[in-house]
This record gives sequence, structure tokens and C-alpha cells, in this order.
Amino acid sequence: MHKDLLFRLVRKDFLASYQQTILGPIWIFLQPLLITLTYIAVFKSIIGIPTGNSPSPLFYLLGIIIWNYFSDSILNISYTYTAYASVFNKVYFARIIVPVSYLLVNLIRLGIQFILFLLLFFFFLIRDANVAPNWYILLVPVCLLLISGISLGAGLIFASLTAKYRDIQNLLSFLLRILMFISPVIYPLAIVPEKFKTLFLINPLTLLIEFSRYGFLGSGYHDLLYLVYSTVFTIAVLATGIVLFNRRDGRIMDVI
Amino acid sequence: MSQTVITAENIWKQYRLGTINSNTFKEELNRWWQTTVLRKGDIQSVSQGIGDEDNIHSKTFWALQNINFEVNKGEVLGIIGKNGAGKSTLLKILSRVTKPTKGSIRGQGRVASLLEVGTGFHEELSGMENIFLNGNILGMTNREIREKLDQIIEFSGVEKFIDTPVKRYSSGMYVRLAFAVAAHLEPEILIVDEVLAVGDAEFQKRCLGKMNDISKRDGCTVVFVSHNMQAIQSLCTKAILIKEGAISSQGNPSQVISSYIRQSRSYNFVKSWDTENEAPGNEYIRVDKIEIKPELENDQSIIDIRTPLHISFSFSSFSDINLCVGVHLFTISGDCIFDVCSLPQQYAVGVYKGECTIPGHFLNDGAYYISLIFVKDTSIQLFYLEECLSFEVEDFRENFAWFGKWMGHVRPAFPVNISTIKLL
Repeated sequence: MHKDLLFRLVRKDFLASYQQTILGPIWIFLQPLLITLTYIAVFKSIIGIPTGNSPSPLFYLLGIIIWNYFSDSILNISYTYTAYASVFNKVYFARIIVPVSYLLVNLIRLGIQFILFLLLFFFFLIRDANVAPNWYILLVPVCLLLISGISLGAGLIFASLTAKYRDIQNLLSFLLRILMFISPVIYPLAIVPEKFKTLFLINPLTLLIEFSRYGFLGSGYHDLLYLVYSTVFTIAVLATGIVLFNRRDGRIMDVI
Repeated sequence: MSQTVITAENIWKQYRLGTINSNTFKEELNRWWQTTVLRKGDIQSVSQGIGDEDNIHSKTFWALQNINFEVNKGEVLGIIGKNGAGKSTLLKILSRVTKPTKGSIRGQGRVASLLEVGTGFHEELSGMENIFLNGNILGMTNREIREKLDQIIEFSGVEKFIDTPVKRYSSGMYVRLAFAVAAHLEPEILIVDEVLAVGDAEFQKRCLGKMNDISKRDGCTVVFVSHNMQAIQSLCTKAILIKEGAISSQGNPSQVISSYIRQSRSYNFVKSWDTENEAPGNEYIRVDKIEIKPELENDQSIIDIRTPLHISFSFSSFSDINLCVGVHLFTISGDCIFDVCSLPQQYAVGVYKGECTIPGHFLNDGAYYISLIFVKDTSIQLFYLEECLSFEVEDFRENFAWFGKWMGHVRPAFPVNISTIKLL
């Protein structure tokens, strides 16, 4: 029964977001492509941020799709109570279904975008550009799993807080913007001065993005010890999120 | 059959009044600081410690107070009460949408709650998608929905528009589709709010009919809130009257309904004036008293369409005049039902009394008021006492499976006879 509802909500989100559009789901491809082009133009050509040896389209695209997955998931999940207030007020079902459905929607989007990335990746691989996939590629799914865990956990924390005080919503979009600049989305960790590196690595996203890049492109930070740290971090955030969300579950209906 | 499926024990529900803003945040921080960081005993003493200012900002309100009841399997429980009495809060607690502040509720079986029709409908999606979406939200599996899909679509009567986004539907179509889904739920416990308040008479009839079917045929336990006393009377096996958050009576539906009606009506059945100055009148006549006495059967406590009503009044005449005295009956909306009057007669100075009886099985259900008129010499209006008494007639139907409003201002009991001309 819960499974049906979960997939129904996922389906609803997909259908609803492409109603009355001409290109429909093609936007899933188009959006990261356009952003990649913009980033190449602005950050590479104008500002001149070095992307190491890797081809810049692959460098940016991978960073962008992972970052978008993370940030969209958190934002969507944090809106759980606001978006579903009218439903939660009338019908009871396990509330956690809604955040999980949001995560799934974004995961599917990520999957589709990954196909785009892989196409581009093979294109560069055949042309023998500076692309050096290695066995770390097998850890990419693990990285994505950890990112999913962090998004869900943090999303749940913010959803619980936002339900009562809407300010948190503004705070969140602000925080996400800052976080993007201190994560290696538009630049490689390699250009960060050595003394700040540890500081950057406290942010688990840094490692997870760098790790994925290393697996595909052969350049990027890849210390397995930090993967352990990221795992511990993820579990902590997820546990906090679930506890907060469930604790709030009962009383929250009176304040949303 | 007498297995208890819902048990409510000492349910209290508190709501906070006012808005949530920086003040509430400050209070929370303060409380958290005091209890968690400073470890100063329990919350109770802390909130006292915060002082008067706190009490001003955080006024609370008990929406429900000490609610206790049980519902057995297959029973239909009706909940009645005025707006704001706490009925919907109770339904929310029953359907687990919100938790009681104190007390516990236990239920056995699959619960479906219909606190509104079309919960979770997405405007942009087609009727078909919404059937599945709404069905899933209400707790149906895809398989159940698919099995009943044809019935649902047929019941809704929107086959032609099933692939159109529901935002293009008329509000009637929208409600019909939504109800069609809800009507095909097969829960063990069904919780229904005043869903029937929406839609036309035809639709309400269908809703009630469906609810009747569900409870009678499928042995489903139903809890529902309604202002339609006729529906409560005929569908429910048990009723609860909620007044200001507490149960004021529960048990047999007709008894509960009469106590509700007695509570909520403040009609004037008698008017009399103590002093001559206060009494209405003029230099010719003065009305001293007017009264309605319903002729109630032993077990009745309210006026229904069967009840004869005796109207009596007394007046004084100050001069020797020729008078007709009339009684006008109006519906509450001002339509005159009848105008009856006494024969013209000479009245010497003195005190007189008049009587008039509205027979039972004459008025339809509704609210009415009475006016008194005094006419001199059969043509000059001498005095008109407007809206001096008002009363309400409740509906009464026996063995009749229709719950809509009966038409007409009067509802006489003369028969309509049908006989066979020929059989084909």
C-alpha cells in the first residue's frame, strides 16, 4: 500500500512538472547542459579557473548534476510540510513517504542526467582526451548513496524546522548558495590552498564530488579515509533527520 | 458483533491561540535554555517562572475536554454539535491527522478518513491520474483501484473528460469525481466529516445512500459529523452531542438530537408583559399575553411535523369597537403561509382571550413566526404585532430512505391514491 503511494507521488511530481510544456522531460537534459555551457563561458573562459587536465565540459557537467541532485533534494524535502499541508491535514499516512518520494524524483532525474554525462564521457574517451577512468569508478554509486543520505537527512531536519518557523526556508536557500561556493563544483579542490584543504574536507560534499570526478576523469582528491568520515557524517545527519521528523510528526499538524 | 473497534479515553486537545512569530520563538528558546541548559526542573515550574508576560502571549484553548466513548463493529456513530464545538477536531484525532494533547485513542482495522473530498487532487493532472492519486492517498492499492475503475468512472459521470486536467472541470464535476473515488473505498472504519454539505440535493442523497449501503451491507463502522438531523436520525445507531469541547450527551440518536435541538433553540413560546406600559398596544387595544403550546406526545421533546400547536393570546379592549382578530403565520424568510381571522364582532371594554390551533401534519419542517393583527370594522388596521412568537418544526420520517429537504411550506398528510388501470 505504501509502495503504491510512494510511486504514485513520484509519478505525480514528474507528470505535473512537465504539464503544458513543449519540450517536456527534455528539460532534464537541457538544464544541466545549458548550465555547463554557461559555467564554461564564465568560469573557464572569462575568469579562467583551471579545471586541471580534464576536459572542462565533463568536469562541470559532473559537478553540476551531482550538486543539483543534492540541492534540489534538500529544497524539495524541506518543503514537505508546506507543500503537503492540505493533505496532511486531512488524511493520515506515514509522513516519511513524501520526503522519500521527493528524493526518488530527484534520483530519477539524476539517473537520466547521468546518461547524458556518460554519452559525453564516452565521446571524450574515444577521442582520447585527458580522461582516465579507474577502479574508483566503482565507488561512485557509494558516493551517490551517501549524498542521497545527506540530502534526505538534512532535508528532514529543515522540513521539521520550517514547519513552525518559515524563516528557516529563506535561511536554507542562502546556506545552499554558500555551500555551493565552498564545494568543488566550479573548481577543483586542487586549486584550494593547502592550509584551507582540511577545512574544505570537513564538508563531506567536497570529497564525494572529488571522488566521483577522480573515478571518471582520473584527477581529483581520493583519500579513502575521508570516505569513512563521509559515511559517519551521513549516518549522523540521516539519524538526526529521521528522529526530528518523527518526533515532530504528531504535534506538527497544529502549526503548519 | 459487539466487538469494540474504537475506544477513546480521556481525550483532551489543546490549541494555542494567536500567531507563531518571534515571541513564540523567544518563549521556546527560553524554555529550552531553562530546562535543558540550566536543568531547572520541569517545564511547569519554568513557565510559571517566566511570569505574567508569558501568559499574555500564549493563551491556549481546550478544543476538546475529556472525551470518552466506544464504538462497536458495524455501528454508525453520528457526531452533532454547533459550529466550533470541536466535532472536526475530534474527527481529526480519530483519523490520526493530529494527536490528542492528553488521552488515548485506539482503533482496530483499516481506517479511511474522508474529511474532505478530493484530498491531494492535483489540478494539472487528468481525471484518471487523479483517481489513482486520490485513491492511493486514501489508502487504496493500485490493484483495488484498477478493479473498481469502471465503477468509479461511471459513478462520477465524467467519462468524457477523464483525460482532461481537473483544473478544467466545473466544480460539480470535480466534486463528483472526488466523491466517486471515496465512495469506492472499502475500509473497516470510515470517518466522514460534513462532506455532504457540498453539492446539490441529488449529490447529498447519493452520498447518504452510499454511506447507508457501506454500513448496512459491508458491516463497516462509520463515524460521521453532520448537521442533517434527518440523516443522523435514520443512519446512526448511536450519537454524540458535543458542546464546547465536551460530550454533553450520548446514546440513542433521537434522544441526543432532541437535546441538541433543545439546547440550540431559543425560541419564544410565550410572551407576556408585566406592566401595562410595557405591553404592546394603543388607545383602543392592548395585547397582554401570547403563547404557543405544542401538543407533544409522551416520548417527544421537540416540535416536529406531527405536532399540533395551540396558539393562545389575551388582549384588552378600551372602547366599544368592532374587531376582527387575525393570526398570520410566516416562514422565517418572510413568506406568508396563512392569514386566519375571527369573525367581525363587537367588543365591549374588557379582557378577551383568543385561541387558534395549527393542526399536526400540516406544516413542513422549518422555522416560522407568528404575527397578530387587529382590524377595525373589517377594513382599518388598528394594530399589528409583528413577529411576536417564533418556533421551529423538525422533520420526522418513518421508513423513508430519502434524506433530502422535503419541498413546500406545508406538508399535509392527505394521501395520494394510485390504482391500477390495467396491467400490461
